[in-house]
Amino acid sequence: MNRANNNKLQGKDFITCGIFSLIAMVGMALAAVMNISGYTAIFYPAVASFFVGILYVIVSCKVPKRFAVLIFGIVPCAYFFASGLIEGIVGSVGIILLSFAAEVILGKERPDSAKITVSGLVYTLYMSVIGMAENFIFTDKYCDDALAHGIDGTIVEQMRQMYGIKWLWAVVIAATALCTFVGIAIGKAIMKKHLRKAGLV
Amino acid sequence: MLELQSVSFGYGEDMEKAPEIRGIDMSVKKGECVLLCGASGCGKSTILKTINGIIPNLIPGRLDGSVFIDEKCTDNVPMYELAAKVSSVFQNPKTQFFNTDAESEITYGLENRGMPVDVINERLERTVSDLKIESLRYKSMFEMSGGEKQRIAFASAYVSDNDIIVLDEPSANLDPEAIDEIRAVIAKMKEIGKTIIIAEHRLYYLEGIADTVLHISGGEIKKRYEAVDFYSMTEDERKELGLRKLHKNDIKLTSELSLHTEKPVLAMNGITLAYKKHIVQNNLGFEAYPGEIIGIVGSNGAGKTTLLRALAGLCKPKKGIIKYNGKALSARLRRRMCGLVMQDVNYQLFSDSVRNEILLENSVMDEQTLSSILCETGLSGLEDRHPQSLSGGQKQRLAIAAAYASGRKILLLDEPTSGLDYRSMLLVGKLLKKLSEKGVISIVVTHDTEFIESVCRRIFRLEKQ
Amino acid sequence: MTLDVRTYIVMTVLSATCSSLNTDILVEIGIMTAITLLMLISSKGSFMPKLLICYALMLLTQFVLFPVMPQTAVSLLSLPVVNIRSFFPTIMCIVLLYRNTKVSQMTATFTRMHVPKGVTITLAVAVRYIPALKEEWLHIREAMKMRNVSAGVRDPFRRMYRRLECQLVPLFVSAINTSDELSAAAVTRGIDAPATPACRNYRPLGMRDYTALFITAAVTAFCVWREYGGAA
Repeated sequence: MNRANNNKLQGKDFITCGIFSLIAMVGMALAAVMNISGYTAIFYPAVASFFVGILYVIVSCKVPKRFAVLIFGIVPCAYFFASGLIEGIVGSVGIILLSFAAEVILGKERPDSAKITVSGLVYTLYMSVIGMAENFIFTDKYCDDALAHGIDGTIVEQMRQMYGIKWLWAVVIAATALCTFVGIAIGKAIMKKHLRKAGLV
Repeated sequence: MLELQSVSFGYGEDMEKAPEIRGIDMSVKKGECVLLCGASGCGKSTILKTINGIIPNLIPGRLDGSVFIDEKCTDNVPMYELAAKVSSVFQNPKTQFFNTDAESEITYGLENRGMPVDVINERLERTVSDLKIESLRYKSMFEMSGGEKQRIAFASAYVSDNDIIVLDEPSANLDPEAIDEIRAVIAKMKEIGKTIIIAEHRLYYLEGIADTVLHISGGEIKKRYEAVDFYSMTEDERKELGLRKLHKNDIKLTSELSLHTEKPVLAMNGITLAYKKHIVQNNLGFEAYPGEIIGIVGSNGAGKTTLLRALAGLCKPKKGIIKYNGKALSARLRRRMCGLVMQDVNYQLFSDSVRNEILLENSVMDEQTLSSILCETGLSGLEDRHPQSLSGGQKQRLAIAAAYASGRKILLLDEPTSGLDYRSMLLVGKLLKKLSEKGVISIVVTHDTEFIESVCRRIFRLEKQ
Repeated sequence: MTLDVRTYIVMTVLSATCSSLNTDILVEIGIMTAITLLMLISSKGSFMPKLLICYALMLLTQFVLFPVMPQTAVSLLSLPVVNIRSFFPTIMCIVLLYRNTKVSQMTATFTRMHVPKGVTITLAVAVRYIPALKEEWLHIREAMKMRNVSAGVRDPFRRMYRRLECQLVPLFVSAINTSDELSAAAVTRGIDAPATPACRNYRPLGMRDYTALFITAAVTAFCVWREYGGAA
C-alpha cells in the first residue's frame, strides 16, 4: 500500500513550497545589491536567477507534482504585486504565465533532469524579460522618472545611453540564462551529492 | 480502543531491505498509558507513525497488517478523519507549530475541522484553565522556550478531545524543569481517561504514569512489562537492556578528584557575560587542567550557552580574559583552538561523506590516522555514508571527531546527549574520556545528570543572577 | 491598535504606487510622517527608530551632502540612496503588515476571501518561516566560523564554491527537515480536511480600517492628480 505518492498537491507540498519560496525570495533580495550602481543593475536578473535556479531544482525534485512551480512562484509574485500597482500587476501576471509554461515543459513524469533545466531557463525569464522590459522599451520614460525622483543627472544620462543600446537586452537575457544554467547545475550537484545521498529527497 | 495486528513497515519500495518494524501486535485499552522504550532506531517511532497515520499517508513504503481504532480498520480512513481521532506531539518543539500566536496554535486543529467558532473558544478556555497555561496564552510562539512551545503542542492535543494521544519523544529537547511540567500535563491527560502511547528514551519522568511498558528491539516487541515490574528492575538489568535511568536522582560524582601533576592550561579571569545587552554572569573565573572534563549545569537563562560561545570565540565577553598556556587568546584564535559541538549538530556537518567531514580542515591526513580516528569514534564502516543520514549519536561523535582531527585542544559541547539513547550516551562519554587521555579539555553544558555522572570530574553550577 | 491585514496590503500596494508617481519630497515626507504616526499607535515593536534614522540619513545625504560632494561620489551614491529612499514608505508598510498580522489572522481572512487554500497555506508558511530562517542562518554562519571550511583549497573559484556549498547544504537540510516535521504536525491536525476551516481570527473591516483606507486612497488620488492632472 502506498498512499503518499498521490499526484495532487497536498498540505505537505504547500509547506515545502512555502519554505523554499521564501528562501528564493531572500536570494533575490540579496541579489538586489547589484542595483547599487547603474551599470551593475542590468546584471541583477543574472545574479538573482542564479539563486532561484538552485532552489528551482530542489523544489521540482522534492515536490514532483503538477503545479509545484506555480506555487513556488507565489512569494516573489506577492512581492512584485506589493511593489507597485501597474508594474506589480504586469510582473505578477508575468510570473504566473511563465510558471505555467514551465509546468507544461515539466509535464507529467517528474522529476526529469533535462526538463528541469529547460523549464528552469523559461521560468527565470521573468526577471530578464519582464523585469527589464520597462528599462529597455520605455527607456525615456524610465530615465525621466529617475531624474524627477532626484537621481543625479550624469548617471541618468549614462543609463539613458546604456538602455538605448537595445542589443544589450539580449546580453542581459543571455547572461541570465547562463547564470540560471549554472545555478541549476549547482542545484543538481547539491541534490545528487548531498540531499539524495542523505535520503532527504 | 486501539489494536495493531501484525503490522510491518519498511521505508522505500525495495523489498530486499530489512523492514523497520515487523509483526507488531499490540492492543491498548481505553485510558491505558503505554510506554515504548528501546534504543534509537529500534522502530518505536515507526510504530507511533503507523498509529497516527503519518505512515502511510506522509511517508511512503511497504506497510502490511492493520491498525484498528475503535474496532475500525484505519487502512482507508483519510488522514484528516484520523486527525479527529488521534492527536500527536512530536519531539522537536521548533518545528511543530504552524501559527505565530499561542491561541491560534492551540485551536488550529479544530479550525481545520471547520468547527463553529464559539465551540472552539469554549474548548480553548477549558484547555487553558485545565493545563494552567494562562501565562503563555497571548505570547508569540517565537518568544517561547522549548518547554513552553512543547506545552502549547500538548495543549493543542488536549483541546482536540481525541481519545488517543501519541507522543513521540516529547522530552527529547527539554530541560528537567520543562520535563516536570510536561509530566504534569501527561498525568492530567491520563486522569481524564485519554489513551496515551509514548515512545521515549527518558524513562524516569513517566514513573507512576505509564501502565504498561513495551521493550522494542530490532523492530519487534521483545518484552511486555507491567509498569510496577519495569520500574523495580535492578540497575544491571536496565543497563543490560540499554535503557536510560529509571528514577530521578541528584548528581553523584563517582570519579574521584585526582590530584593534578601538571599546571592548569586554560584560565578564565573576571569574565562578565551578557546576552542581548543583559548581563547574565559577573566576574566568572576558573582554570582547567589538561585532559579535564568539566560539566556546566544550571537553570535556563543562567548564561551557560553564552559562556560556551564566549569560550569558543563566537562572542566577546563584556569583560575578562581567556588564557591558554599563559597567553591571552583573541576571539579569532579561540575559534581555531576550540571545537564546538552545537546543540543542533545538523548545522555543522558540511561534507558529503563521513570521511570528507573529518578531512575537511586537514586534507593531508594519512589513511592510518584517519582510520584510527574512525575507529576510536566508533564510526568505522560508515566512512562513505552522508553525515546527514547518520543517527543523532553518530552525528555527535562525527562532530567531535572532526574537531579532534583538526587539532582542537578544547572541546565545547552544548547539550550533547539530548535525545540520545543509553548506548549512544555512553559512547559519547567514552569518546570524551579517550580524548581526555590525549590532553583535550572538554567542557560540557548539560542537564543530563546521568551523563555528568559518567564522565565529568568537576562540575560548575551557574545560577541566575 | 492594529488594522486588518487587507488594509495593510492595500496600503502597501498604494504606497508603492505613490512612491513611483510622486516626485515631490515634501509629499513623501508627509506620507512618511503619516506612516510613522500609525506605527507609533500600532502594537509594540512596529515602530523601529532605526528605520527612521536611516531615512533621515538618506534625506540628509541627498539634499545636504550631494550639492557639496565631488561629482564622482555623487555618481556612486546617487542611485542607491535615491532608490532606497523613495521605496521607504513601502518598506515601512511591509514592516507594519508583518509586525501587526498574526499568521492565523492572515489565513482566516484569505479563507473568507476565497483565496485558494494552497496559496493561503504557502504564504502562511513563508511568513511563519521568516524568523526560523534567520535563526538557522545565524547558526550556520557560526558553525562555519568555527571551522576553516576552505582549508587546503587554493583555486579561488573552488574556494568560493566550497563556501557556497557549506552555506547552502546545512540550510537546505534544515529547510527540508523543517518542512517534513511541520508537515507531520500539520497533517495530524487535519490540514487536508475538505471542510472550510473555521475563521476564529477573522475580523470584519472596522471604522479604523475604513478611515485608513480612505486616507490612503486620498493620498494616492492626490499623487495621481499631481502627476497627470491639472498642475502640469
